[in-house]
Amino acid sequence: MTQLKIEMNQILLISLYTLKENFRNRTYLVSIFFGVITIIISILIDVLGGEQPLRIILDFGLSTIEFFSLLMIVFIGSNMILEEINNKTIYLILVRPISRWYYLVGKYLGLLLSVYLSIILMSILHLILLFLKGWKFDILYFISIFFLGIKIAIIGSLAIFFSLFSTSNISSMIFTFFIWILGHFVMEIKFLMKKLSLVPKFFLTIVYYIIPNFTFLNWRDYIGSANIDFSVLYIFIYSVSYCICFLFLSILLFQHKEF
Amino acid sequence: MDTAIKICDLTKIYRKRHLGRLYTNLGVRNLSIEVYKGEVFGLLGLNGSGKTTTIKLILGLLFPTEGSIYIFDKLMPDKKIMNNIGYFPEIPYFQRFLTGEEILRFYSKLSCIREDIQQRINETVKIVNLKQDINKKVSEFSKGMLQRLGIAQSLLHNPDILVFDEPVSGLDPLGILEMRNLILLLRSKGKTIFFSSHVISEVEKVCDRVGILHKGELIKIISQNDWKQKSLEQIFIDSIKN
Amino acid sequence: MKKFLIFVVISTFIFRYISEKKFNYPYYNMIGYKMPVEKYVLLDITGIVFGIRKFVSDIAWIQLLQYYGSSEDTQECNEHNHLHCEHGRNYGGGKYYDLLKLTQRIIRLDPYFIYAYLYSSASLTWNLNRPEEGLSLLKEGISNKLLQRNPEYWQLHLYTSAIIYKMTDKYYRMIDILEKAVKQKNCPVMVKAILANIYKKTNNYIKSLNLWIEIYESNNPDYRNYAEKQINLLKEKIKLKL
Repeated sequence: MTQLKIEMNQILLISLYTLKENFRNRTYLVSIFFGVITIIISILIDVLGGEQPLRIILDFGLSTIEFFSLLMIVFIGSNMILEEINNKTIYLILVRPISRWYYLVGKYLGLLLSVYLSIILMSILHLILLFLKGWKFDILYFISIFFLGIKIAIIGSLAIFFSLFSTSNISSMIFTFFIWILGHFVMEIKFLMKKLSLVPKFFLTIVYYIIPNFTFLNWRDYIGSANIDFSVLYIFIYSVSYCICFLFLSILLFQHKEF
Repeated sequence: MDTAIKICDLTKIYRKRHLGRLYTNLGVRNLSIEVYKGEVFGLLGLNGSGKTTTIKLILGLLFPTEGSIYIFDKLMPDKKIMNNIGYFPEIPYFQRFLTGEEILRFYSKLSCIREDIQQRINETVKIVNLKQDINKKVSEFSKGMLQRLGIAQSLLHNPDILVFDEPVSGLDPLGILEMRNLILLLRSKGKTIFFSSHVISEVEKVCDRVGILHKGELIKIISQNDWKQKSLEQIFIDSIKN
Repeated sequence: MKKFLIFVVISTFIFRYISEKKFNYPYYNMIGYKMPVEKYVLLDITGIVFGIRKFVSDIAWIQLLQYYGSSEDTQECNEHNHLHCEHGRNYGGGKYYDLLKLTQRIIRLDPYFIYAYLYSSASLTWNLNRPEEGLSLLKEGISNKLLQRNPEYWQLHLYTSAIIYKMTDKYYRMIDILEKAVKQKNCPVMVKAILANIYKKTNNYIKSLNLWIEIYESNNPDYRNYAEKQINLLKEKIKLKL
């Protein structure tokens, strides 16, 4: 048990230092920037939105929270390990009695913590604005933020994987961003699959199942639909195992990496 | 004598693929070295002879193509043994957003130091003479301060083996003297020190034995007695030319 | 570790498959749908591809309000010799041929935007005198199976009835339906204005006045000034009648 406790402490230590790094690198300023933008835009929306300002503020706010979170996770996730490798700060960590995969998991958790804290800050600002405009409490808001968090976790694992696979932060950011787009396009891909002949259908099916299905997690767009009866538990387990898959692949790449 | 580090027939070939072609580059070949407990062993060689490669292979930053490495008779890689090794790189790089104290605290916790961490940090900072500047951010450190911090982090967990890569590289004469005194102090405490250098004058002042590396191969190992008769510089040059 | 990875990969596929079976995507996919406004097709597809179709439908709504709220022609106002004067405003009246297409764009991006159906169908029917277009819009909503569980769905039937009664000159039954509509929480202010105007035309000044007072107190900037004028006008008419 003591050994397990030591190992968990090491992962926690790495994640807390990653969080510290991100905040000292001014990442949290993105959240403040978002808050200011939202307040300015909401004044404009009040005038433009006719009798639907609350709906627009809600949709705009949630979309902007997602956009800024995506920017953070893609940028930080694609750069953080590569930066430590390139400026060699990783040497003095890996020569310590810490397994490489603890380091990677710790960095990943620190990355998620950083982005989640920013999401919470942005959501608080957004909720204050909504309540001031007369919004009534809706549990779906918090469910959509929760599933946004899961989307961010998947993107984070992909960003780290691509950064180790491609060894270039630019290509990693491009691949990750591309997967984020494809993940929202899956229903259209599924529709196309039905129209194709056998061989292209087979390949497209493989691609379809490899790409994460973000329509499961896009609850922001389902507020007001009243058609939400899908099994949340299976979606949650699928998302977590998807993250673990790519984290494991990242660990395999990292275990064989030479410095 | 007990062996601290045992390198057996170690070969490292760098392989790189580029546009479908495989490029190879020799790091070290058939390297066999034994470093005894409590001794100071120097690895001497020209630039590109394989000194840093050897050190990285010992530390697990590189993986051998062939051969094996044993630390205290345990086959590497072994994460638990890493707690017994302190590493000081040629140019130490630290997270710039942290202060010196935060760096040492971070590495102390990673190394699972059982003693009081603050006490250990204070002791180490005193040894390297960094007490006044330890609370500054690393981004504000001078080169000399970075070197001291690098040494401090290698000593934090009181390791039995110290691996230094070009420890006197870029130091001023006072810095070189301090480094020499530190190595002698550590030896007096029974530490095993393995370091690489191409500064012959320093190597001959502190080492018990020296290995000469040339183009990835170990040419010879000589002891203090050998360079008392003929200068280490002459032995080194003759070995390289032959 | 590799065995664990294989296990995780297989379970990912299994849970993906199960989730797909249990997941009812609450939108129709866009490839089968024709986006009605060509110049915005790229924006709409971008919204779907980036997973922000609801937000893009809000942008489409703002664009519709901009279109419907701006003056249709640029001819000078002959009476006062300047452009877009207050006398040129006809509060929703005019041609606005693209209103149907712009609304179809909104409801195809977000079929659950019930307000858009109500607002546009009412405008098309009572302001622009094109009830068949208003009906086609509501019909698209009613036939959308995804919408049937929405608690506001029944209002589409309500407005359909009102439009049919208008088309078949069953004026009083149409008024009954509109009276039900204006009592709903999300009834567009415009529909209240329409009913108030109908009351005025049928010499029911008191009911018209009550509705205009309600509109005035809602503080809607588009209607406040006009509501104030109508209130003063109706008060005069009531005084005269008395």
